[in-house]
Amino acid sequence: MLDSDDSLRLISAVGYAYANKQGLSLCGSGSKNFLGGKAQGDILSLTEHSGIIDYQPGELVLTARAGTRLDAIVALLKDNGQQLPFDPPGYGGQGTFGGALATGLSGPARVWQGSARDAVLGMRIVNGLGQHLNFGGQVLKNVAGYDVSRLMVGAFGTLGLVLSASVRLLPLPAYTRTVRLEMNMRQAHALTVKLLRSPVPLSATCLVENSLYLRFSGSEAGVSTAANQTGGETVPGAEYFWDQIRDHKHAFFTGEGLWRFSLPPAADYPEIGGEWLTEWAGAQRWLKTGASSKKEVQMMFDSAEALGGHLVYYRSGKQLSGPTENILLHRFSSLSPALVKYHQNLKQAFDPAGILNAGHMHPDI
Amino acid sequence: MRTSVLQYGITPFCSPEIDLRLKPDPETISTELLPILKSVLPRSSILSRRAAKKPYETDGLTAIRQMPGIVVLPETQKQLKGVLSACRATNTPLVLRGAGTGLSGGARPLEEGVLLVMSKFNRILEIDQDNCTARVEPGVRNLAISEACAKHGLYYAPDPSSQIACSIGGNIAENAGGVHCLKYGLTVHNVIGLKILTIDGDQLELGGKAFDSPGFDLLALFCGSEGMLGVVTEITVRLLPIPSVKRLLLGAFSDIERAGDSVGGIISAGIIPAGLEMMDKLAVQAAEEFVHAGYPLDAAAILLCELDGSAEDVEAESAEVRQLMQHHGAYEIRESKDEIERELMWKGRKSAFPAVGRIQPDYYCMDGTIPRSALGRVLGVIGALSEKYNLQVANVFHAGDGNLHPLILYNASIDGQLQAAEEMGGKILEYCVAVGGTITGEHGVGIEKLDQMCVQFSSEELTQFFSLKKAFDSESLMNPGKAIPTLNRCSELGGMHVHEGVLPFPELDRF
Ligand SMILES: Cc1cc2nc3c(=O)[nH]c(=O)nc-3n(C[C@H](O)[C@H](O)[C@H](O)COP(=O)(O)OP(=O)(O)OC[C@H]3O[C@@H](n4cnc5c(N)ncnc54)[C@H](O)[C@@H]3O)c2cc1C
Repeated sequence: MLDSDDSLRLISAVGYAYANKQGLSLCGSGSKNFLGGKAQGDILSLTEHSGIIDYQPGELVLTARAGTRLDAIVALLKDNGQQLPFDPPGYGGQGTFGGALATGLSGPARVWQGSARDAVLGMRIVNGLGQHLNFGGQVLKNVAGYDVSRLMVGAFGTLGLVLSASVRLLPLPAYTRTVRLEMNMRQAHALTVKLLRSPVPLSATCLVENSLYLRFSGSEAGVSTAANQTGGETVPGAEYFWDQIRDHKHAFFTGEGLWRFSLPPAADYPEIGGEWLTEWAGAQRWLKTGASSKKEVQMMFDSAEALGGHLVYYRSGKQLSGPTENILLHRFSSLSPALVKYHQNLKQAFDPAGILNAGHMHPDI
Repeated sequence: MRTSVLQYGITPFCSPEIDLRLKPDPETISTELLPILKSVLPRSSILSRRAAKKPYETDGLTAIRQMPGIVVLPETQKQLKGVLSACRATNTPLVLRGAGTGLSGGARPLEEGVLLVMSKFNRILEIDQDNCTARVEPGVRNLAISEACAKHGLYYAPDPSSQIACSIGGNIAENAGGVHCLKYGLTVHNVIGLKILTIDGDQLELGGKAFDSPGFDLLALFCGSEGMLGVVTEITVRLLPIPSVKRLLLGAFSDIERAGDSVGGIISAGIIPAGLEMMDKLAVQAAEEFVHAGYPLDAAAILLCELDGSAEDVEAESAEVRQLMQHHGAYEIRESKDEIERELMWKGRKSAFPAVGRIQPDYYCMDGTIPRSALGRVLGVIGALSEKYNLQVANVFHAGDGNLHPLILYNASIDGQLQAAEEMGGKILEYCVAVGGTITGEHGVGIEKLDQMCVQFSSEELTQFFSLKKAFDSESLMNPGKAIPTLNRCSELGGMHVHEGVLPFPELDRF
């Protein structure tokens, strides 16, 4: 694997940009570029800053540079019987470690194994002043100072350039089995709500086209008991299926516009025409729909909020135009005015000149 | 004379006699403040007389005391808002207090300030079985949540040893951990929604019942922010299904370092126990005398390893853990046979602090965290320091997390022992940083570890913390002077500064 320390160049590039008030658009492999708005400024590539800095399997902690490829990390961990608990999506089969943290996305096991920010223990960053700062560390518990490293996760590089990070790992389960049950959306919803509050070794759920996939992980005997109780047929080679779901390569993810509803798991389905794919025992629901008018889009945002969740716009089937694009300036559900104020204050605290990924996450940040 | 700050018999680590700063009762708060407070709060919610304020002089770090300027106990959101705007209008600093069990002086009051006590906000607002969440007010006791949802087969996982007394608001502020955090995470991993009131009077809703929310992860930022950024007014916690089977294994070792090695052995074998705790001989003896948990008194160290899950999982894992403990030299291994025995075995561990407090009048509790592989080395250093300072140390560890709680025993009425204990504690924390760890795993910096913060962070990092604080509290009215040391303080400490975790004096003989 490419192992190179490009930190001096990155630190000085940010320092230079700060001195000259020039915007920078931070870029990993580009696999998740589509998620944010276009950042203003020169592209600063992080891919040359790569390699694993520290990995001792017995500590269950890995430290790697931001540009390290996810697939390389996952392969190394697998060789040692371990995994990244948040199982980050690598859309397009690619993706870097830093990009996974900056977007904060998590895979099918999120509800049971925690999110990207849950796994983060520490980070080295470059703030918008070009200062190289180190927060958190490599230990599991650390409350010295504010938790800046977790704040960076999902901030889309708007508060700092992530140089490297330490994350907590999990052992791979001794045994895994996926079963498939044929049932409609209503039945599946009721079942996953019930499973969520039962002590069963569940590690992923996915409902697609009237098939409910349930993944159980743990000891062979424990998994068998749970899977036999639920019934359904065992899915051979299911690892491939979960990878396809995670990386949006499953057939469901082609075609029309794609939206992500993040909802309380037991919330009803919003009444919007389209096809659903539901993960995380109901907490993450993908909607594929042709709906694209301003009114329809507004309705989707409103219904996500009314159900106690939020909405992310992933991709359009048709070209969205004019007024619709305006609503989608955010791509994400909008923040309350009070929240915007503190987001801007934080931006000011980390990046006073507003040079880091400006406009990438939010038009005013 | 000893008064306990807590109702349930926790012994303060230092006697209340050290009250150097007690002054004759001056008018310490600004004259405009009181009339405004009286206009927003009922008379009974304002404590201004010395005798009434006295119980609020200190939190669990009882060596440090300060009579608050005034104490207020609001019970509605409107009153709370009124208090904040009174402070803002009169530029009066304020300190929040939950149950006052904090061990780093986070809730230590200010002479010229308001102590805002959150204990009247003690309602559980909602238990949502289907979404596995509970919505609670900040003054609710940690254990009360699990008790309230037990009938639904659910519980709240983080279980600090102080859980009968400490408040969930205080848990958020310190990002509290507990003996079950190895598998189930800390407070930050189990809270999914917060409502915040800022000193400017803004109401922020962070998260809710969904698993994520748009924008910055302010929820994570508030966990562990020590009451410096805003008032936590409502909390939504995640509840987990109570595991079908729980079993506690107790391994007795004649060598403490081998007990430490078996911790690494268990984790390397791919097992994440629900809890993995270690106690040394002195701690075992104290706990046994206090609660009669049946601990082996001759052991140099014991390891408590809890396994939970399906009956099959627990069976398979206990067999493996048994073998691993034996392999690392455990001379005796016991298993809890039922819930009563399991709880009794835990009770010894959970009451270790007060138990140790019975050996010596005072103890000083440290909270360093280290990589597990450094356990043996750090134990060696603690032993050497104990000899050098001639102070006994009882060691209680969240071993699986690498979080150490050496309890330094001393007697405050013997001249110089308090200072010696503090100095020795400081050395232990600096050594934790030197081996790649941190000065506090779960108790927070408060006022206690300000000097060690200078060891862990560079001046640029500290400056970043200050500007972060300013983003929420531009006038620095909330808990001023805590958690982050000023650059001046650090430079006065001089010479001590390190960066990149390398101490200028990493060697043991330096101590
Ligand atoms: C015997 C004993 C055992 C302990 N064991 C553990 C343990 O196992 N794990 C562990 O993590 N800790 C432990 N502690 C420490 C302590 O119990 C925790 O830090 C706890 O979280 C503090 O809660 P509290 O309600 O007592 O907070 P307080 O001590 O009252 O306050 C702590 C901090 O929280 C702030 N605060 C309080 N309420 C709010 C609010 N509503 N909004 C914003 N800020 C607020 C205060 O300003 C202060 O900075 C132990 C303490 C004792 C005495």
